[in-house]
Amino acid sequence: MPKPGDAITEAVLLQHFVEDGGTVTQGEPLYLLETDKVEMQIDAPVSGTVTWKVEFGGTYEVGTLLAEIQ
Amino acid sequence: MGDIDGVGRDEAIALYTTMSKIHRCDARVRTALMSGEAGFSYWPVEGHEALSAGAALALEDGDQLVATYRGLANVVAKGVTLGPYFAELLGRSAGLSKGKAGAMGVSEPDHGIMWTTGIVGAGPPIANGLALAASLRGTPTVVLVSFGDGATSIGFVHEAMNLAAVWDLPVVFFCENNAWAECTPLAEYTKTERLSDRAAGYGMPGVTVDGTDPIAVYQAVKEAARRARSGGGPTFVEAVTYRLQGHYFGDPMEYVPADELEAKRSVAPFDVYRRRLLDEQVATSDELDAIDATLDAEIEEAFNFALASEETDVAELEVDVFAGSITNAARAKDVPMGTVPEGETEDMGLVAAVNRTLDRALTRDERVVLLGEDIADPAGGLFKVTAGLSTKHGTDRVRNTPIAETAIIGAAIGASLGGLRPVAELMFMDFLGVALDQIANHAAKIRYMSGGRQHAPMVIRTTVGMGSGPQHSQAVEAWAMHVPGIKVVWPSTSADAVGLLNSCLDDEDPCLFIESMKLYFGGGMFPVPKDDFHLPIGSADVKRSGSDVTIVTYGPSVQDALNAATQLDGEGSSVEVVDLRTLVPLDLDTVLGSVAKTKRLVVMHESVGFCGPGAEIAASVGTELFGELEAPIARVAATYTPVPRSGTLEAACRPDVAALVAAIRSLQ
Repeated sequence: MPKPGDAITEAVLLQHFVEDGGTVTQGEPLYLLETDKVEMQIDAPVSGTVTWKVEFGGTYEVGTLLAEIQ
Repeated sequence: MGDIDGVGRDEAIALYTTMSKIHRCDARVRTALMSGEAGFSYWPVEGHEALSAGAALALEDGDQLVATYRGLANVVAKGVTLGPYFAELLGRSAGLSKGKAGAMGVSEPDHGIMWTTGIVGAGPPIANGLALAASLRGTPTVVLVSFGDGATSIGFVHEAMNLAAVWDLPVVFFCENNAWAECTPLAEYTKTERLSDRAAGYGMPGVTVDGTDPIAVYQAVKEAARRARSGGGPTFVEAVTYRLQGHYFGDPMEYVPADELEAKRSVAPFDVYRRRLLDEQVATSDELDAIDATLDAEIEEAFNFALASEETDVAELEVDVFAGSITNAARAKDVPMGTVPEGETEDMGLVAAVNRTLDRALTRDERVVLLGEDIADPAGGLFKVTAGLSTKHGTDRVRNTPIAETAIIGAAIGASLGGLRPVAELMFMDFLGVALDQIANHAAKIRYMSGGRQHAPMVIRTTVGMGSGPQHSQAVEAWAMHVPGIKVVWPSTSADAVGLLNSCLDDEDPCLFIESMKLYFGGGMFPVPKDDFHLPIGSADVKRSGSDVTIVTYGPSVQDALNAATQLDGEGSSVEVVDLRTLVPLDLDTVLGSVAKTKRLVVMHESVGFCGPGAEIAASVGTELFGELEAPIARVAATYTPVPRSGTLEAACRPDVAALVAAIRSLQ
């Protein structure tokens, strides 16, 4: 879970744009998170096959491993 | 393949390389933040590539930069060492400042990156001082200070541009107009159509250029730098672009019209310039790709260096507040008890003592310069403290300033970073607040925020008034004492003033040197050794020995304490008077030694008692000597009121001998 702002310690994982096992290209939208009713789209940092490690709809602390891209 | 808009191929490619490097560094940082690889505060620069690359190419290697927290583009273009730079963003031990500053405090003097500020508009006053140092030393250095369009609203920038113009300083005021003052559009905060129009009001050339075109910026800054280097003074260069990312990483940018942002992103400066080089056949895509690949490898290696860097050791916490091992309290082990040397003396009041000391400093050390309002002859200072000095040493070194305290302190800071030993005068201590950002956020923090690689050796002289009402009579030494990184000195005699001021002038850290108007006039004459001497900063002085009660005080209250002691002698009470002389570092060793002997303590100061320095001293003594005290610690200080103009009210506000005697009697 990234830290999108000084005051952010946790965020809700709202929605994914790539299914588990799907492939993604660096820079394309990967998932949507929400903090304090503000949504933020996170793009894929690298290209590869995505394996999600957490449940969508849950709240996770900054630093939590959300997915691996192989 | 050849020229493009009058710029040769080598320069065109150099601009591309720098823009690409900025673009890729910014993207790499945001990728790290997106992936959760690292979490830190970051202010993106996408859209700033062209203006920063153009400005940097226009400067010589020896030229200097003062940047802002949105500074990645500027410092990368100026040649910052990438690995330690990224490590500083991450707050790691291998960072340029050992991770103590982050993006808001980047400096690397070896590459001309002199300072970065996190305070909007605070850079220009400091740039002036760097430029002053360069011009007094006769070096052909130009100082470029970058700031955002939003910074043009703050008074600091006005003060700085006015001072630079009147002194013809070699500064380029480089305004990066990216359309947004954080989250507020330009039209909401100013009616000025072109920000560079303001230059005319200062008698300075002003130019607005397309900040998305690196060649246009390069040419404009080159002209400004040429003018500055040839003695033509400063220029205001406004480079207009559009910020393509949020104010900070994670900013949802709800305030930006979506269609406007999409349109601007479709003509992003880096993409447009790349296409232009290809279209005009300045380079092939293979050539540009090769440049990009080399940069990607360099950036990835540097970022990995940062990620691999250890967290900063907690042992670093209290390092770099002051030079060496000095802390705020307790006399440092290598600081001796200072005593005024024996020898032939002359009787002097405080005005003459300070004047003589400054005169001798100007004579022996060419780095010493004096800055302040009305300090040059024929005025010679409001209190004549600097009378005769400009006539003897020249107005280059004893300089009248505009009535602009932020510009004065900023210039002193910059001059100290540039190798001078400036002495800035704040006419009354009440004006500390006018310049408090430069004092508290900059002078005091430069050593810490640079991880000890830079420091601001400067003296701020100021006067505590009397009989001048609520805005010209305050003693606010506690404000300065509460900011780690600035030493606070307040002598009670002419001789102590000479010895302490000499030490402040030689000190490696900023010193606030407080003078009492009460001692200027009617304070009496004191014997001062004719030969110069130093008294160590951080050493108190026992002005009178006694066995029954200790008075701890400083400044003009020392004389009150001595008078009270004499009065109480007749009552069989033996009073010891400890003159702190310096408040930071505070010589608690001497205080504790005295109170351990007398078992009773009265602390006196003429500033407000509530949360005053006496509270700190009382707390420390209470902690250390709780079981040994034979009476509660008493404090004698000013009332919790402004200092009134009315003579009767001022007398009631200030502590005096009668109040002190009453307090001491209450302890018996």
